[in-house]
Amino acid sequence: MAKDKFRYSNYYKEQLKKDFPEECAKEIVKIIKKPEKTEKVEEEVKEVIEKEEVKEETEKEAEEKEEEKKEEKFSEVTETFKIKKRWVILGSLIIIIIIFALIYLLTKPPTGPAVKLSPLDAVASNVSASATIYYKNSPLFSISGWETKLNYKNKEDRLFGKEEYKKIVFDEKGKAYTAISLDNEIRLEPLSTNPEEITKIGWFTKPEQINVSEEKERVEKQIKVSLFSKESEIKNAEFSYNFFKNKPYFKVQFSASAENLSELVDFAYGFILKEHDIYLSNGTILKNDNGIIDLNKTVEIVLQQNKKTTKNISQNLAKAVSEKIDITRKAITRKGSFYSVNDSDYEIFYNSNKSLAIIAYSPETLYFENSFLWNVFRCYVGHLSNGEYPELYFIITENAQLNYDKELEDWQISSKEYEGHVTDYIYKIVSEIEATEVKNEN
Amino acid sequence: MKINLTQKEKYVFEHFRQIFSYVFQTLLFLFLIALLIKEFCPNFVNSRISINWFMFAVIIFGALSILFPPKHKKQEEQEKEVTWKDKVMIIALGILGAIIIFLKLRNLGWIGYVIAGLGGLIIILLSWLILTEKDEGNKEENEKTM
Repeated sequence: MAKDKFRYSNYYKEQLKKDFPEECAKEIVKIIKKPEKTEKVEEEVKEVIEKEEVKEETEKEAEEKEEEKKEEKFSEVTETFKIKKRWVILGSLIIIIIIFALIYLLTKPPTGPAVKLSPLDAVASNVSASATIYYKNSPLFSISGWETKLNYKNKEDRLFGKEEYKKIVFDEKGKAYTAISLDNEIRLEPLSTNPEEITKIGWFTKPEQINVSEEKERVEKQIKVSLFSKESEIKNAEFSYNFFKNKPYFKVQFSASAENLSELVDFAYGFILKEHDIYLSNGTILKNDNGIIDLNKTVEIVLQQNKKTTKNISQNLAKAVSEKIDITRKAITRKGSFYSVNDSDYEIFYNSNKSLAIIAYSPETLYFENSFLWNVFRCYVGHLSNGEYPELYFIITENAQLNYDKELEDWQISSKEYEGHVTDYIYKIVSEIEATEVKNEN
Repeated sequence: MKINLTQKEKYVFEHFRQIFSYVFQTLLFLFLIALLIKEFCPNFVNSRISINWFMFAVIIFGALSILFPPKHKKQEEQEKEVTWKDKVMIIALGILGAIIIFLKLRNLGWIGYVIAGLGGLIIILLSWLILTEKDEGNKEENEKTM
């Protein structure tokens, strides 16, 4: 009786649902609802359960067979599509070689000196004591050893010059002449000095006297161009360039050592800069009127004798000259104005085509010399003490607009880096540099 | 949009996938070596190759290897146990890494030493971790199959 009650109970039905699939459970419930005896019902239920088990087994076997088939198929596929390593390696090598060839042939790697610091850096020459200043990897201007001048014992000479013997030519009578090459002529003069005497220009003349060294810190780079000589009255001289990472300015300082330091007088930082006008602090604009005019002819040979100039020279002499000097070069003439400026605290070199301004400032400027004829500019400074000279600062400003403020008598600069008066900008930069130097020393 | 390829086309394309992956790995390795050399000898590298275009090529092949990854990966490589040679190599690479880092950071003063030391240590520890992790993974697999 208890069994009968149980088989009709909901609890039993719920258990069936849990233990068997839905359809099987429904069938079992149908059987147990039959009014027959429990034992018979149990037998029928057992049969149903056995059938269910058999069904599950066959389903499992079918699944396993399918899995096996899939695996076989997969292995067939992998066998058929076995990756040929040789092809992969060969193909890869070919592609890599093509890539490198394309990069090497079609693209231009950065050539020229390794200019690391951005945006300003310099490359110093150990042949001429000059330094080319690079702005964003393009040469901007150069500070020239030849155009730099030093006054010692009231004798002013180029810092780094040359030594050469005079070029001597002889006419058919054996008379000697010196030959000087100029832009539009070759000038001959009768030899009046000892031909064995070497012509020396400059305090230093030999490349062996130059030493270039670099010191690089994390945010600062210092380049030193040192000159030394045992024979010269100036024993040592040095340019020290300081560049700062990500800063559009740099500083150059000159120092010298001589037999008698007190005899050191003025020094002129000489630099070569083309296609720039000059804006003075008093509002004056000096236009760059440099020009080279082609005379549409080759150079002429002229003879200067007894303060008279003649083009009438013998063929033999002309031939002797042509053997030593190139007389086929084109004759040119230059034009350009010269200005000496002593009332300007700074000079702004402005290229209107590029809207690029270069501010040159020294705290102890004596005067500026500006030669548009040769595109050579000099900033004269006085000797401080112990061979030290005041530094010269260069500040580069891109996309600069300049307007003169008549009230304050100063240029107003408008650029990405600064908006305001140039004097304030200069002081700001100088303070920054001094602060950086103090920080580095500590 | 699914493109139906023939078996032969699939076969050829699978090779291309392998090639993309191989080329990318090689180019990446060479690019990193070139960058390392460039840090110390910029002239040597800059005068021979444009590093920007090299990087561009690496990126292109990286993208291709991600978009078309190889399907059939070989798993038949037998993993070896960590031997004394591996340990020596890990230590040597760690020291080399520390030296390279120090050479670049020596201007910073004492902190350069610290960073270099820590960098070398990280290299050693990470390499050890990767090697031992692989080794442990294989041991577990072997135990399961048994």
